[in-house]
Amino acid sequence: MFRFVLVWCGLVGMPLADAGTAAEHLEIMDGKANAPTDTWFRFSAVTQEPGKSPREMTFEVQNQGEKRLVNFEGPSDMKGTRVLVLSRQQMWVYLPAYRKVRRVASHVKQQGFMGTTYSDEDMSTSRYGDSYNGEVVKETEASITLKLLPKPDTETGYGNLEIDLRTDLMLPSEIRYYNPEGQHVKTESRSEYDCAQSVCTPANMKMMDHTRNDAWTSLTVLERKVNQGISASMFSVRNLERGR
Amino acid sequence: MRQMLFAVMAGCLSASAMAADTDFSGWLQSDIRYRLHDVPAGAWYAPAGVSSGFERVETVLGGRLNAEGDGIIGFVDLQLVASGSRSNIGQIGDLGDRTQVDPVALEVNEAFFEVWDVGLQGLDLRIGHQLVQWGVGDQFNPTNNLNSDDLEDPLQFGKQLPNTMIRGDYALGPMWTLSGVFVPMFRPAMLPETSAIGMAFTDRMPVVEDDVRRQLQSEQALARDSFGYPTIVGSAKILDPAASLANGAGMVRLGGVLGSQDLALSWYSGRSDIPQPVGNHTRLVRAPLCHPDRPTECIKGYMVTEAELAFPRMHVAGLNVAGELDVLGWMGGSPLGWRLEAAWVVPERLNIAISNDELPIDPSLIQPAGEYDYGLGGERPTVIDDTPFAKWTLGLDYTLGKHVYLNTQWVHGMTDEFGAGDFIQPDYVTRAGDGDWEIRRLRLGDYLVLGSDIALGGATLRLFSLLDMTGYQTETADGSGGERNIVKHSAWSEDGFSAVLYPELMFNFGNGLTAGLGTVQLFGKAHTKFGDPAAGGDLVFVRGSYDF
Repeated sequence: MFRFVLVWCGLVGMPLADAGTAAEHLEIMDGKANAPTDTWFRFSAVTQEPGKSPREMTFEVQNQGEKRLVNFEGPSDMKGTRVLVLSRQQMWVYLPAYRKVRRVASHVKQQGFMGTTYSDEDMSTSRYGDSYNGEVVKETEASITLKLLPKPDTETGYGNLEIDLRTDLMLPSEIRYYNPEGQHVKTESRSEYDCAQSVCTPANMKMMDHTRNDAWTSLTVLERKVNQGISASMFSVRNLERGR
Repeated sequence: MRQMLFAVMAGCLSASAMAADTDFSGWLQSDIRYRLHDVPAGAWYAPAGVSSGFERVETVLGGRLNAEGDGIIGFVDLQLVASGSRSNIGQIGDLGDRTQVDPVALEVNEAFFEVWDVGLQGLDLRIGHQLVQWGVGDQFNPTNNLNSDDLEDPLQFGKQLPNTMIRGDYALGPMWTLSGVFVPMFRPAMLPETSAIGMAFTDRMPVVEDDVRRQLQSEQALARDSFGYPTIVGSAKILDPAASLANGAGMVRLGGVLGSQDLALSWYSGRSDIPQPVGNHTRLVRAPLCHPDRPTECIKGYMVTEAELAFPRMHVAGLNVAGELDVLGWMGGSPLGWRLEAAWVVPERLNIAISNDELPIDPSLIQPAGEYDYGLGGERPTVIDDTPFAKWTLGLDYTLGKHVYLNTQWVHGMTDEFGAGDFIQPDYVTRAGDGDWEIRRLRLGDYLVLGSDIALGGATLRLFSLLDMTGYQTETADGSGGERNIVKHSAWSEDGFSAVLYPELMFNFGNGLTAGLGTVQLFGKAHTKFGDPAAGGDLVFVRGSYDF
């Protein structure tokens, strides 16, 4: 769920949309996403499934390049759970109940991460241009719609993605996810961009899963810090169990 | 006792007030279990089974405090266990004793401090009461021997007991870590309450040498059937290793990532935490007794044997690998998760000393006091051979759609199994026997573990099963001397089948509130692994917890 934080945090002042190709748009997006040395966020998450009570979580996310570390603070039964993502293929979780670090296998990456509507795969993509080829579907003054198709060597549960980019920020306002059969399975919206300290990030995000009766998870940024000079050793398997 | 948890926590909290960051969490758990059937064991003159009824009524209040300063962390995890089913009231006076009427125990799960970058960037030191949980296997971890097994609660299989240790970890870059642990004092495993039932099975002779074992069984049967003196175990004394430097344990481990696989190599030197018999002293007790319902069935007394148990030394070389196998790619499937945990164990040879007081069984048969004549040229019989052996778990897991998670493991050598003897280098243990027959099984069994989590909307159905694939065999004397007739019983036969079925329906109500309802069903005859009365019998349970 923190993928978007990295992917879509962009530097204000970068070149805005031009009549470029999809690959160029993607490159700008990815460049903005990975431009900050590091970022740190604390999120509040609410997941709502039809007919059930809403479930709330809080967690913090540290990012450096495509590496990230998530630390769950609540609810209490998830407290202390940590997730390390080094790449789309390298992901580990520390489970405090078992005092163990465990590698997360690819086959669970389409599952809802920690009960949310965001999947592990949704979390683990930091550079879309590395995994997808794009084409421009629609272009207006206010937005550009890109269709992304997985590259041949990309392992993904999605058949394609559609991204609506805001031309003023070159950041997405909506992403639509399609399964390999072409069925529209998820919609993600991002709003209220905060562009302080020359880095733009959405303050609110919402992922709706149409295969779960439109269950949704909404994320609100409670705090954020950028370019703190986080040590690279923070993003190690050893660090997952350090002090735990 | 109740005040103790809060006092300790408060003490830690005030001490940690100077620290940069403190964090507290707590939990309340209740667990009620009911044994569905009586579990009979032992002969009529020495019954040892357990009755149906509430097996456990337990409430736990736990707390965990983490105080983090500049490069140092203090961590405390304590719990108070109110065990309603454990009261041991015998006398009227006990009713005035709160510890008897309402027993509560304080358990220290962990209490340690950890210092980071000790004199060297990437070198961390952790000292105190702690758990070191290594091994990629799910609950079955033959390479993870630093902490002893906590087998007290079979539903928490895989749980371990904390111990005071010194642990150092040195980061060799972001992906590799070299670790070393020293355990000053040995701690034995905790066993299930029902494990004491095993003492009723005096026919499970632990002696490796066939001739000695069969002779002992014949003599035991003779004393019982011809002279009215059956053998019973009077006590089982644990020989706890002295708290010396020589009895400490240590382990080194190098772990990291190689491509898309996690890899770890380790070496452990210490002791097995499961005790093995090393001594047996028998005395004769005259105590005439007749069966309450069958007055002609009488005994004159008992051959009471006092057993001694010790913990064998061992060295363990460990290999852990975990990653993915792309075997389903041809059909569009995701890679399978896989893990291998293998231990090469070099055990210490253990012998058993068998002795007796003078045994005046009959005027015509008086066994003089002294050590048994084993007929082994002055050697004592073997209980554990020093032949190295391997234990391993090989696991696969996969997710079907969004609702079904599957996990399977092949386990070679259960936690309580120790010593060479498997399909690679056969050696057997006796599971039942008498003067002229035995039911035996390979010392290290093979088990198939199948588990799945099925998401059912608001609940999750967890199905767990454990199947003993080892098989058994009946060995009988053919009457012509020396030769034995062997009848094999496969894992699917009536005499060889043994399994556990453990389904649980789990509910997560959110905000830390969870509940579960389930049952543990044990299958197999009394001589089998899970049909053994010492396994405790079938249970139903309901439990809930609230984390705050």
